[in-house]
Amino acid sequence: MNIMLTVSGIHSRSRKLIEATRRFEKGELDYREFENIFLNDVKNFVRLQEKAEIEIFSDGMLNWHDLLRPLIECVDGVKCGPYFRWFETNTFYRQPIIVGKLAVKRECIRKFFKFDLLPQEKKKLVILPGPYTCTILSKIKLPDGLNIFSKIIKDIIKSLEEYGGLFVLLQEPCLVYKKYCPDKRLFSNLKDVYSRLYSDRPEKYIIHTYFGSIENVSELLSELGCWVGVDIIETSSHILKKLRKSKIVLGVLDSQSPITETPEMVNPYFRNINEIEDKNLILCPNTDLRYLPRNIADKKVLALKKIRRAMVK
Amino acid sequence: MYLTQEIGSIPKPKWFINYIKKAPISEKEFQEIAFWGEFLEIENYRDLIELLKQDQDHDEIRRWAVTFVVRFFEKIGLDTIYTGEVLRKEMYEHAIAKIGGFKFLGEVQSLDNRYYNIASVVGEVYRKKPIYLKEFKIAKNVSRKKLKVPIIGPYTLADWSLNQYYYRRLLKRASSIKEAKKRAREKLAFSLVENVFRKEVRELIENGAEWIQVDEPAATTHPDEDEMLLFVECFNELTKGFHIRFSLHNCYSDYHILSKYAPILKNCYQLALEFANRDTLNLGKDDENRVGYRELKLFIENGYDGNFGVGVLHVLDFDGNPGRFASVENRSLMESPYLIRDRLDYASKIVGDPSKIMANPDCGLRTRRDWKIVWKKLSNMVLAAKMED
Repeated sequence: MNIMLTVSGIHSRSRKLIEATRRFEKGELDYREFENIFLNDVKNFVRLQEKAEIEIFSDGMLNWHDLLRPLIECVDGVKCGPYFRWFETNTFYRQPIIVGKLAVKRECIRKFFKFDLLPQEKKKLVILPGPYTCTILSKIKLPDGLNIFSKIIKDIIKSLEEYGGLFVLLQEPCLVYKKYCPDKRLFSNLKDVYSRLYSDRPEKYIIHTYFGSIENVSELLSELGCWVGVDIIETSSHILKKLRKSKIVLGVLDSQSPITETPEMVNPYFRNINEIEDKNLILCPNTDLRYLPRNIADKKVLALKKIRRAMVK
Repeated sequence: MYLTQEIGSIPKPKWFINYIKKAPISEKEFQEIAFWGEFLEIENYRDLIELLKQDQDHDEIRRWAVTFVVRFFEKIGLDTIYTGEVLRKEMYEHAIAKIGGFKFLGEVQSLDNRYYNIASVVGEVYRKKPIYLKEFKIAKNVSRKKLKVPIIGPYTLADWSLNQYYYRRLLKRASSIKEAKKRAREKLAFSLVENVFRKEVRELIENGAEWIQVDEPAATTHPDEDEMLLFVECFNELTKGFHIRFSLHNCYSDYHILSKYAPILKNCYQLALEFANRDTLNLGKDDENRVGYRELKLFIENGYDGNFGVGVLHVLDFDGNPGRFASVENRSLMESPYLIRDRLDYASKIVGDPSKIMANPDCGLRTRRDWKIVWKKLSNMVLAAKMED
């Protein structure tokens, strides 16, 4: 079995960066000083991934306030809406509101993606909200929103292509979160939208689900042809069999528990993985690790290495 | 005419922050004391300057901090006030530091560049020290107005904490990790009610508290029915048998959910909610212009017949277009009295009785950092509330 490692969302900010954001807001640091501290934090996160023997690198998204924010700040025609709670967490997002003709501001995108700090030879992970989640959280009518947001997402990815070696993870918590689970009648729309997004490169795309079990959407996920991300805290191990023909990404680290995972804790999933036909697997945290303080989040990322070793054995 | 209230925190004065940090207090900060001391007509405020220069009598300096905030609210003309939580580091950390069985793990992001020092439960929880009593005694001694004591709710405290201790104990018996987490949260919440918060409330009442506001921002975080019932049970158990006024403050939450459970909150005099964040900045008392307040209808339709604290002031950074009936100062939205009044009148129309409405900010104004901004925002609110029809 070939197992790769990656992360899946916004990483936790270091104490130094937290303090810098405070001092910057109070006017005690100028932008250049703040930027240096931020970039150092990104570099530290890159070193952590090297130590964890991760294959698909992320910049940690350490300046993202929420997953949807680049869509607001970097797209003409999108206005900043009110704050809402991010699922069942103590974090918040601002609702994107579409007010005009949409155009991605390429320069702004660079503010959010620090790919020039990632090792050149490594795969670079673009993490964005998926079109379904964007549509639901923006409160735009389905299926119209799917087309609007998939175009924005595609443009953002395109603007990053110059870095080379891109791997794309689209976070789609709304696909599995009970309140927002799509009706089966929408499955064909969703399939179309995703396949247009990854066109001829499904092997470079992950549709990553979390905050819910894949049970109700396994039929859709199993037909996508790209990688499918599963949150093991929410999805019972036997349900994995429903994705027998898929390429699986396992969210094995619990982003809301301070306990560092051991191979034994992930054991029940190992057993069911044997029934998956595709012998490629990616391991990652179930979602953003920003719900934990940095030192704990870092330990969890390092735990991926041990879990992989145990799985290979 | 509507009554007005503060909802919780305001920014700490810079001199007090430096005093707490044991940093030197600059001449500018002494001037700030003099400015507000004169403006708020605080008697003998120069004694504070002397105390700070001598760096002694710490209890007295804390009393001065409360005095400045209380006079600030009194002069603005709010009807119900408190200390602006000036003696609390932050709502969560303040409480946890006084409860045994928790261990702080470090800061995590909450909203934009705001963080809180998350703690994990490592043993049975118990009340190490009174959490709010000292602050209340000072406020009672200083204030000339009606006081309302804001306390963090046990459900929120349980939800915002990591829960190693109860989780590990319950994991073996639970059918899944998710189930174990849920049971652990339940166990922690009830332990907090029984071992910590009922004792705290009893002592506050014994010392003269007449109104306690339970802050439960996490109330609708887990919208399943059994979780919502857990939140309700925590509130009802906390307030059971105490014969004073209790209210609930909740913000940035799902009011479709909360409205279904509000009618079964016992002993809940008022729901203080956030609406300005969701509203337009146009004038008008109709559904379209007051889109942020329409959810008030849900509470009435579901049978809640208590009072409302209506959030009429946005408390977070604002970077949009303020339009003609608001302005922006230092990233703070300054709502005009006309806009605020329209919000109050619309809310009153839905509730059907203006005496059931109190005006308040959406949440604590600690986020604004500058007392002058807070002054203007709250003054506009008081002006709007007291306008003739």
